[in-house]
Amino acid sequence: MISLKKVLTVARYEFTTTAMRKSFLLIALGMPLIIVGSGMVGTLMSTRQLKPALSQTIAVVDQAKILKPELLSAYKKENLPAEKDSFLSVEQSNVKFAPYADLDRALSALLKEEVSACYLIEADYLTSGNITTFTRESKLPSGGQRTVIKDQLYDSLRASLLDERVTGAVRDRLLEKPEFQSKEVSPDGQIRPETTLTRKFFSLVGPIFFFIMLTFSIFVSSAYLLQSLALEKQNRVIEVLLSSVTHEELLAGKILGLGLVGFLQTGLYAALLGYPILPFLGESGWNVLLLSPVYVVLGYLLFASLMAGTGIFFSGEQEANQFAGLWLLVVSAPAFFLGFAPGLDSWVAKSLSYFPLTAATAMLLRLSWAKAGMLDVLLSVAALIVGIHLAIRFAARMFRLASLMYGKPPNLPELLRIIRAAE
Amino acid sequence: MINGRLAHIDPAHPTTASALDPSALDPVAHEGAIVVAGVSKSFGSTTAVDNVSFTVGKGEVFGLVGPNGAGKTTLIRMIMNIFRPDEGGIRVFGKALAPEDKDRIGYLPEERGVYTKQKARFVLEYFAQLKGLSRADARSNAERWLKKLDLWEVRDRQIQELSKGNQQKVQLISAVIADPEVVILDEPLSGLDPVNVRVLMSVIRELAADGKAVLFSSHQMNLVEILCQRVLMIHRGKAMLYGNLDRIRRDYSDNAVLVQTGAALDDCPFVLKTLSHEQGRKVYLRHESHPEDLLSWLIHRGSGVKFFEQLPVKLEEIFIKIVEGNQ
Repeated sequence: MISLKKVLTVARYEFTTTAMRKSFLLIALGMPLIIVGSGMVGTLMSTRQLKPALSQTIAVVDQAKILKPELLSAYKKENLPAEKDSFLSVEQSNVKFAPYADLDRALSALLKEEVSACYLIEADYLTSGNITTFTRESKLPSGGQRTVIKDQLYDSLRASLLDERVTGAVRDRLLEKPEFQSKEVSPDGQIRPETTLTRKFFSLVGPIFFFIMLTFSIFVSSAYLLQSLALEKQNRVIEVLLSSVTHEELLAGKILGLGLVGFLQTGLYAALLGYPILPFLGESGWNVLLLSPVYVVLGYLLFASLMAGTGIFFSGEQEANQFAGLWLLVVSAPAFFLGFAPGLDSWVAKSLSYFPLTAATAMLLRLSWAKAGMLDVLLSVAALIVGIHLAIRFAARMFRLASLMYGKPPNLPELLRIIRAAE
Repeated sequence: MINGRLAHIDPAHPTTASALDPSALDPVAHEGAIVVAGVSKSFGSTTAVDNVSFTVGKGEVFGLVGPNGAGKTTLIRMIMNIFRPDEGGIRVFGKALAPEDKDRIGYLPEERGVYTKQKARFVLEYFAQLKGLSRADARSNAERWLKKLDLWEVRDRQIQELSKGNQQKVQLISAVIADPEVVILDEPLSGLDPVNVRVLMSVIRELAADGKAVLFSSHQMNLVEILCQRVLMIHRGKAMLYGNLDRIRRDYSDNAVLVQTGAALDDCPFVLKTLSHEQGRKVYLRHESHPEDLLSWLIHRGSGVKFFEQLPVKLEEIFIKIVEGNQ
């Protein structure tokens, strides 16, 4: 008869000592901070890249004689509302154009660093459209700044060509880019505004992210258990513990306590990173939200038991960590198999969903993509429960057999011999 | 039901243990906190324990003695129900050990360790709670024992920062913190300096004086001689000696005394032979003679006696004698 009080005592100890470990705090709290921080840095850098870095003067030599100096840097819209201005428009730019009579003077100013670039509007511009750019020799890429200058110069050229020929709203419309509106027609014929690029992106990566996060949760929690057992064997604490609790109580307490640690960590990640993605999961969102915890818990119980049952043969934390890597392959195997499957609702996907070792991760993947039905859910849960029952029995047996076995872990034939001898 | 056996007593050495029924010889067997009867255990083709029987009574420090690899730890692990015996029976508190009985047993294993990165007091409180104590009782017991063994000042240090002696004190406390009725200590004093040996021996004596049954397992026979009233000597899984230590010493004594005298000892009718010794002469008496006979003879002869000491036989010597005899 298992004592619940002892199971909870072990669980509390395991939870407290693991969750308060520096390495845990570093990984649990540090990882989201690194991800969020690197995202912010990336955004800042790309924003800086798009904005003109410094105010600069650009020399313009107009051999085609079409550019009107008063329109060169002072293009004003006549009728369009101010909010239509983009930050690329002339008024908000830091670029100032300086007309030069000939190319020699402009290039001289360039070399003296009075101007940062020189744009030559070729004499045959009207027919050829040729504009030549002169810059000082540099090893640095010119980046987005040159695009801003070109857009501005193009605006000024078009304004000069249209000046006094076309006026009013027609002139403004010709100068302004059109506002494209996109609509999508659903299979049932309904017309809706097109999903934004951001939404499409997250709809694509959201399920993958969720799958990785939940699978990671199963693996991390199980790996904590493996490490804890290895550490106790390394520290020779197991026998002391077994003088107070049974093998089963110790195992159950560890599974409970360290499972909570793993779920705490994943919950933290989910809150910081996963929750904002949930709205983008679309119709699969609620399935993921409601059913994924079930598969995470069942998957954890299965893999924690298996990892405990096999990891008990290791007497060092390092060996256990290496061994945990092998289990990671098993945990994530359905993702590889399903990559080659005809589809997430194919017979391959269904078979993986009904096999205990692959059921949890296969179903998490299929649920994320809304490719699993109620029958799949029922059969996979049943398969997992049977698998967990067998895994716990296996783990308890191995635990009794090997908890006091020190030294080099046995190879497979030795292990089979030990198991046979214990029967 | 214990697999009881008839006592087989070697007439030459009545304390020789060969398939003893513990209750047949032991004055404390009827109230033994631990009763081991005819227990055997093999691992593959290796017999670790072969038909061993003994009892440990309340209020005594019982010595389980033998060289490394003799089978002591296997025997203890069977008592703790970590291993199951292949044959024989073990009773603790008058019945087969149930999981809940573990709370009444304090166990310090030979392969012992502690959570080295945790604080001493935290670890002790955890072990106490595993024995069923409430958090408050665990805290108060930990405080009492830490103060008793001069560890209070280092209570909040990581165990790995403590000296080896202090670490072993923490380990001993972890075995006794829940005030168990039976205390099983497997090599508790190995590797300790003399000062800490003395401290822990005093604790072990106190435990017995407090009415607890203490099973003290050690390969250090000199320490067993100091601490224990009764012993079981085990070698290669077999029980070699069992019973009261004084009785065993008497049985295995070589009936010799150490004497410094001017008398011609070869003329004495009680003397078998003499050997020179750094403190005088080692005199072996005839089997039926006693040291008192020799002393009376010397006094009666008027020979000066500067030194006269009855030579106690050491447990280690007895062990060697038995092992060599068996070979």
